[in-house]
Amino acid sequence: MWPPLHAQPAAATGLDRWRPARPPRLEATDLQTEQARTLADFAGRPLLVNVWATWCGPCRVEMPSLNTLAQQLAPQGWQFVALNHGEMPERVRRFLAEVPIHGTVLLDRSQSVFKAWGGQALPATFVFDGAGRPLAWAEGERDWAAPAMVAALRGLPVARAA
Amino acid sequence: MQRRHFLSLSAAAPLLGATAATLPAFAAARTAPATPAADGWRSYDITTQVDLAERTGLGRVWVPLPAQQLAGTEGTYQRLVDTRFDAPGAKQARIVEGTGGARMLMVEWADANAPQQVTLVNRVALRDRATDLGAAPRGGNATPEQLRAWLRPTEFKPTDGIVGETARKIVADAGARTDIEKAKAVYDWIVANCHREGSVRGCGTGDVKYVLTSGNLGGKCADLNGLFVALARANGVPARDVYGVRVDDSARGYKSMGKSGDISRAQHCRAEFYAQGYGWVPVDPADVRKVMLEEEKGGLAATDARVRAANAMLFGAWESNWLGYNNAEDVRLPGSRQGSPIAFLMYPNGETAKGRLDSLDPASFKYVIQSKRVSA
Repeated sequence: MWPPLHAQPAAATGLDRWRPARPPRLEATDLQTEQARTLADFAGRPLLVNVWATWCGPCRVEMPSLNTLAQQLAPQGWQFVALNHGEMPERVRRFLAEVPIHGTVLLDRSQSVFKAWGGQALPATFVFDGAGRPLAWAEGERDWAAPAMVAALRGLPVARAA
Repeated sequence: MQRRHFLSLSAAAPLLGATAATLPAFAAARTAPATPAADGWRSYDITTQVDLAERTGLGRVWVPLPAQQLAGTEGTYQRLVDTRFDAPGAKQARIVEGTGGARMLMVEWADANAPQQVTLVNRVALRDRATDLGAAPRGGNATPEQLRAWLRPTEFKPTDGIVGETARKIVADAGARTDIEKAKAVYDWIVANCHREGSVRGCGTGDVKYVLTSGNLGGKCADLNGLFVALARANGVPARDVYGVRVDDSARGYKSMGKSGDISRAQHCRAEFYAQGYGWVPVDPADVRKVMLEEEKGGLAATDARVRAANAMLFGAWESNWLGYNNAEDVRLPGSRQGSPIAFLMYPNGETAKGRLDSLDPASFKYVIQSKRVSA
């Protein structure tokens, strides 16, 4: 049964149910290891994927709250991915030297993932359950550390097994 | 014919060896007999230098070439005089044609340990373009078959849904009946209701449905002029974008509508609609909004004389400090490993064994485009 996402004040979370037309796929490169990564690499635990770019002002605005959220939910098994939309590794590394991100940084150099997942504007954030199934998403900057947002995420059925 | 000569050179030297083969040291394709020097023509050398920062065993770039000739019923306004390129160490370098006739230079490298560089010089001749819509019709009577391509919806320019609804409302509210009246109604609506959004990257994505649904009607040239094209098409008026780059300062004194010297970030698309009796008519509502946002710090009101002058000029005329590449939409890059097409070809594109290069980041790609006015 769908969790009480809509019971949360929508204005407080801005988190919507995510029902993509096709099962989402992830084909990206790990910034650190340069290895190819897919959703299967994150199976077994809930996953939050934030799609961002260095030139995106709103992305930068919400990053501190995403880092705070990661600190709060990582102990409960949540995984955090910052998926860069289409930029070159050196530019991303220079940005991260100034603005650290808590989580795994992946590169989508083909710029295909964001669009395939239904995104139209950055930033966009997507939540998967432990079986890799899409659960919820938000487009535009959010206060990810707000109590209502944290409560909404904790209320999701993220622990479903594959 | 020089172009054929160049192609035969490529065929005679396939350059496909495992070791670093080199192209002819200097390849050239002359496409026009001479540079026009009178009647308002101005000539420019546009030099694109690519030096791939990410060198791998597979590097490819596609650099758009200026259209060989662009003309309206008022005559020719762009000629590509000469194309020369030098790609030492490349596995192959050749001029190819992609979707919609978009011409480009494709270069491929295979040696990760050698520089991966190409220098491309295009000499173009340009002159101002204007269609007198107050004069009697004097030509430009294309057949429906010839115009069909410029009425069809594309992925980024749908003509149904919110685009069609908006288009019909604009024309109905304006009481427009002829194609010129409909195009003018759309132009006026964009200038009055849309705005240039400075935070949008590059020229925008050209996703016009998103512009209409985003809630703020903001964007840059690919968004706003793309919206003009989609709304015109939705009203049955043939229309198309012309993707290009600014090559000089504005002779009319608009600092926001010109760029000389380093034009690596000066890409700009314009739009045209087709009117029977007048042919393709140049417009550029996006540049009206650019003048309003950027001509003066703090912006200019629509009532400012400079905005009104630009608004009047850009429905029917283009200044010649810009060159056009192509009209192509949903372009597939020949030989690319990328599965999906790009929305338009206005920037250098590239890929390596590690993935696609960021076309909108010249410093990381890396490329530089320079424009220099020449006397002949």
